[in-house]
Amino acid sequence: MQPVDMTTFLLRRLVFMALTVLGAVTVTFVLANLVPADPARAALGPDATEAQVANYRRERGLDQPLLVQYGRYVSAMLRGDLGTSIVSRAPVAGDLGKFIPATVELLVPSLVISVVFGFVLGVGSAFFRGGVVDQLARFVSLLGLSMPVFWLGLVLQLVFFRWLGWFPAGGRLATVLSPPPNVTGFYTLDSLIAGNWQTLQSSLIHLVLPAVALATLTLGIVARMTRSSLLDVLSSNYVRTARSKGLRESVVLWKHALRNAAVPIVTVIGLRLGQMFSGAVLTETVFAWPGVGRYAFTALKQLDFPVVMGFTVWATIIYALVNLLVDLSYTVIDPRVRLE
Amino acid sequence: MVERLGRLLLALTLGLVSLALAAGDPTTLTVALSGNVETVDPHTASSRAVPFLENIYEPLVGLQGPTFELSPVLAESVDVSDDQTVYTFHLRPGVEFHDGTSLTSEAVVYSFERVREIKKGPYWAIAYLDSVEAVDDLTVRMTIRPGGPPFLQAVSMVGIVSPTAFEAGATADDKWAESWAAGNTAGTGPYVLAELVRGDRFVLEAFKPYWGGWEGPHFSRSVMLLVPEMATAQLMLERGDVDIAEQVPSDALDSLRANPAISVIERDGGVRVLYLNLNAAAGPTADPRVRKAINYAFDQAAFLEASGGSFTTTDGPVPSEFLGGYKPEIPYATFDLDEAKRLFAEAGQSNMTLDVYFTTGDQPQELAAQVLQAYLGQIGVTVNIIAQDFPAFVRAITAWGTSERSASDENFRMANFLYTPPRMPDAYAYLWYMYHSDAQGGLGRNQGFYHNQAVDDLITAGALAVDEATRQESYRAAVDLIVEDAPQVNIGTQRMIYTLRSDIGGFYIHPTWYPAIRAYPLYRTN
Repeated sequence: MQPVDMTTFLLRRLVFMALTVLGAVTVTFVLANLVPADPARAALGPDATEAQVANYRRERGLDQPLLVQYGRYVSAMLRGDLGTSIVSRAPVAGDLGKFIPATVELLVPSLVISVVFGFVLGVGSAFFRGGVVDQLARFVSLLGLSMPVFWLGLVLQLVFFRWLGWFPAGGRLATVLSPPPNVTGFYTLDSLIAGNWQTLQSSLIHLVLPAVALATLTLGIVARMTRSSLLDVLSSNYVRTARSKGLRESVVLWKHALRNAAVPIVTVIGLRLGQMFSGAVLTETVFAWPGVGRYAFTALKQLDFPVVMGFTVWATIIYALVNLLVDLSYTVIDPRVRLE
Repeated sequence: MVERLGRLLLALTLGLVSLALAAGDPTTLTVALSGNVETVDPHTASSRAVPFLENIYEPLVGLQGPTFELSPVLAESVDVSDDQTVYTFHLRPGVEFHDGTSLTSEAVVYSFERVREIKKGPYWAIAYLDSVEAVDDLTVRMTIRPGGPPFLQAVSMVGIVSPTAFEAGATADDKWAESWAAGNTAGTGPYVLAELVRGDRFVLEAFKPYWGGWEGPHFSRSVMLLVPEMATAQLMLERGDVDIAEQVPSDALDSLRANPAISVIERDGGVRVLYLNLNAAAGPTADPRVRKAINYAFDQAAFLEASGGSFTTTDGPVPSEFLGGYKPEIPYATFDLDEAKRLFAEAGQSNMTLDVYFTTGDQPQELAAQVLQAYLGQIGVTVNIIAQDFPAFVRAITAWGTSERSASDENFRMANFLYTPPRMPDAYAYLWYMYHSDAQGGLGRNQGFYHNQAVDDLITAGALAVDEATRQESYRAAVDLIVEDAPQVNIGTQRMIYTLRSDIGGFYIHPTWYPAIRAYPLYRTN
């Protein structure tokens, strides 16, 4: 394909994104209706009478043909209405608006931790290959990759909460405090906006353990990826050329090698980011963190279809967006990459 | 530079740490709830949420102490007609709702009408209610059809709401304010819902004009945190971040008992029983000899031990608490593989396969199925253990009601687990919901299609009886007949265990299905 300008590229990608979201919604809708369970029954429980169940179906349009239900859902979705939760009767869009910031607030520091430390460890171990740093980095990444996050979470709680008492075990805020007035949904930012230092401190300290727990897996992946990608590049001809020109080792590393090694690292980070965004269910459960992953997981167990569908829409959009960002970042990292 | 940064970080950390340690507050009760409370509407909430809501909404009569005796709450007294069909409630004067309005008979009528109209939550319990009317400002008359559950027990499940607040929350297409009431409250209870952060916490604050008064020690605030991970709740309890943990891992109980800062409060003989229903209508289990054989092959002692002390023995079809202490003789309750083998052979089923359904994630059910599998395997009976998600399980057991009831039907089930009937502290709930023919599918939990006309007649006679002695007599006779038919395996009775900080006073376990954590009677002792 011919190289295109940025606007055309973005437009094309956005159209594809819309199609992807529609596809995901369709598939989820069909799957949800294939599950051998009755959402009306599930919502009302085994004690409800047949009349109660029928009444409920009529109220929610569940007695309509599937195609009609699908059409209604999609047209409402386009207006930004994701329906109301069967279980709680709260609008799904509003719920997502409350639970997504909690997850993102946890995710950002965790991503920063994992990228910074993972990158440093990876570079260190590639540069001092086989040395102490390399061994240490290998151990840390192996630990991060193989330790189940809920187990690590419990160990962190045991050590830093139960024994040392440095950090709280769970939640977003101390129980004596009320959340700051809602502006962004991020307790830290909202505390800053409200100028409330108490809630800022409390929300920061509540972030530490879950963010560290969530960061370990990504940290391990980033470290391993950085190491192998960098080693590849360091053994290539142009690095040998650069070295033979007499360039200092730091210049070779930072100016020549790293930039070329970055593409696969960014790809991996993008993939992990998508997964983390769509909910760190286990971390959120262990740390009693009211995030979107736990919200969706609870809904799934209760067959709360509108919530499951709404979550699917969100997760699809996030994945598509992150992919787009990753693709765009390639052009920045490597000028040879062209938009097609 | 680096040194300065280090010092800054240290200062910040110490600052944060000191804040974390200063979390305790003597006037606040902090509770770690294990399950989610999805709605605060007392008329749509599941039975799981109702006990929690009793902090906010109160019934006319209710279970107040650690017994099954009903006591007056919003009604000071009740007159019951001789035929027990007309109930006249005399309301407590001077009771105020959280929205500032007064409790009148109109509010009672509104609350019951709302339950009848929206047909959710406690509707099943008051299905026998014919009419509810205000006689004067503080008198309400309710008329019922006879033959239903004990009516005052049913009344205890309906929280009274403020019509003024609810009508203000109603919209054109939501006449009974269901959306509003899912996140807002207006009751008469000792606590007001001050803050609701969904999926995170409920904050209750003392309602100063509460009719019960605030004499003596009480908590002025209560924070109910949702802590889904039991191990986390345990750690929070040990550190004193929470005062009560609703659930902790069962293997942590021994270390908690040894901890002087923590009280482990336990109660045997609860009323939450786990049964394995056997299909009495079709398949090999339609033969009572096969059902008895399965009973003989179930080693209850092995199950109780494997459950780590979280279950105790059963009394039979109905807990003895509801039968005046009566426990029927159950010959097949003893573990006897030889007898089981003999009965299987007699019924011509020595190589049968038993499909046992359990709800995914329910450990006691899975454990009981495994115990059954191990012993039945020794005498040539294969047990297939089949996991099913709760929603699919609910659909399957209710779809049974419309099935052909034959082994070839797609909804056919041979055996599945069941916890006690819906929450109502009376023998009627067990007998009618689990053994009456009308409770097959749809309304009721007679999931094994058990049918015995004599049992049906005795249950109905008991429900219609006006005096307690006749009622008890009918119910006990029904229990004896059920025991003879062996429609189920009695797996075990769940023990009730609560863990709390030792400085919490006033705590008792109510022996009901899902015990409430009521903040009002509690206080801090030091």
